[in-house]
Amino acid sequence: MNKTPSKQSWWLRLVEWVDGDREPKDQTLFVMEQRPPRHVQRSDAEFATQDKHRLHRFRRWYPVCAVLICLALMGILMAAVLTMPTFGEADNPINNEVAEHYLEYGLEETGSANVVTAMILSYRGFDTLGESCVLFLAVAAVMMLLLRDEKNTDEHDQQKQEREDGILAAHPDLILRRAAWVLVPFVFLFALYVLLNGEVSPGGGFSGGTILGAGLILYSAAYGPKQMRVLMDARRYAAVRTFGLVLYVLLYGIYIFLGANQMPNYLTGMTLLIDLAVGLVVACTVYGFYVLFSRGEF
Amino acid sequence: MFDGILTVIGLAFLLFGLFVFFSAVLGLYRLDYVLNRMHAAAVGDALGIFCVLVGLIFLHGWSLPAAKTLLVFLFLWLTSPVASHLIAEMEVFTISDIRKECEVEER
Repeated sequence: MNKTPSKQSWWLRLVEWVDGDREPKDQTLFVMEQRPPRHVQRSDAEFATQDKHRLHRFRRWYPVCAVLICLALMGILMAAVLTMPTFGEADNPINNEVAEHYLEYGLEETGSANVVTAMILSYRGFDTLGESCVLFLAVAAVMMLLLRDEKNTDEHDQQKQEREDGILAAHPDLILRRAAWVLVPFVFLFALYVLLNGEVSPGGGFSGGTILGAGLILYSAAYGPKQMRVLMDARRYAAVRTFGLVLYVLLYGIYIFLGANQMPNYLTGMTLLIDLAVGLVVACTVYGFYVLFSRGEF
Repeated sequence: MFDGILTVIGLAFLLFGLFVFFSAVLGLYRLDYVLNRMHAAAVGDALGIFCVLVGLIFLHGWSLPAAKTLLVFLFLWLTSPVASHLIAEMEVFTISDIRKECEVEER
């Protein structure tokens, strides 16, 4: 077609090769099967040309618009960066007495060597309480939408679900079960370590709870809902979830009450307990999303 | 001298691991059937991770973090094949005619 292979065609050929639409001519080592092109020819020729024309126009304007939007965004961000104070200067607004206080008195006042834990669970525990409530409410909302009970399940759905459960029970995945048998204890152990050690090292309620939830998901996926119900059914799930949030509310309420009335604080291990409460809420959220979206029941 | 040799070996492992990852990503982008793509991705998951982490151990020297890196290997090499197995099983169960997409060995 082209007498002189220009740079354009070379670039186009490379692009087609990367997209997987075209094989290189030289197939010395790996001979792959020649595929028909992916774009199927439509029967209606006029419609096809119209479509092609539209696509062509879109392809021409899309990069231009994308580049313009990106440039505008870059300009705004650069302008914002120019007005920011220099990084690491001593008299920046972030280096004020608040951060200093956290770093100096954090261990003494909260009993937690990890400053991040001291901040999010004690100094700013009210904020974290709000986050826990958001997680709790998210699971409640998903339950409202997706939980299946006798009112919103008809005969057909139930039969389908029973058939699927029967197929799953008849063909247990041996590889997954073996892997889960090895992994699940270690996952739970690591989750407990992260939860309980969050006071003195990186870790804490959110990360530990996520690992705990992931372990529950792995167990549930490997051994099926029937086995999972022995460990955690709907009632137990609701109990654990509520217990986590109520424990947090109680502990933090006591904390605020003591602090506001200038009473001495003897609750040294409180950060640990709050950590545990947050971990329970987070684990229940992660596991609850999995269960509700996959089966719709516990 | 010894440190220099160790650094060179570590860098070689690291660069080879990066090359493997690059080819894995290229394959993931280029191939268009699930099982072929999984094959490409598995190369990065097994060999690429191995080379990068071994390179890091060589560069860092033997210590507690290096031992933890070995545990990372163990975890990744235990879980990644299981995940691939599940994806492939699901693909084989749900596809209507697998012979259209790839060669099937008859036994």
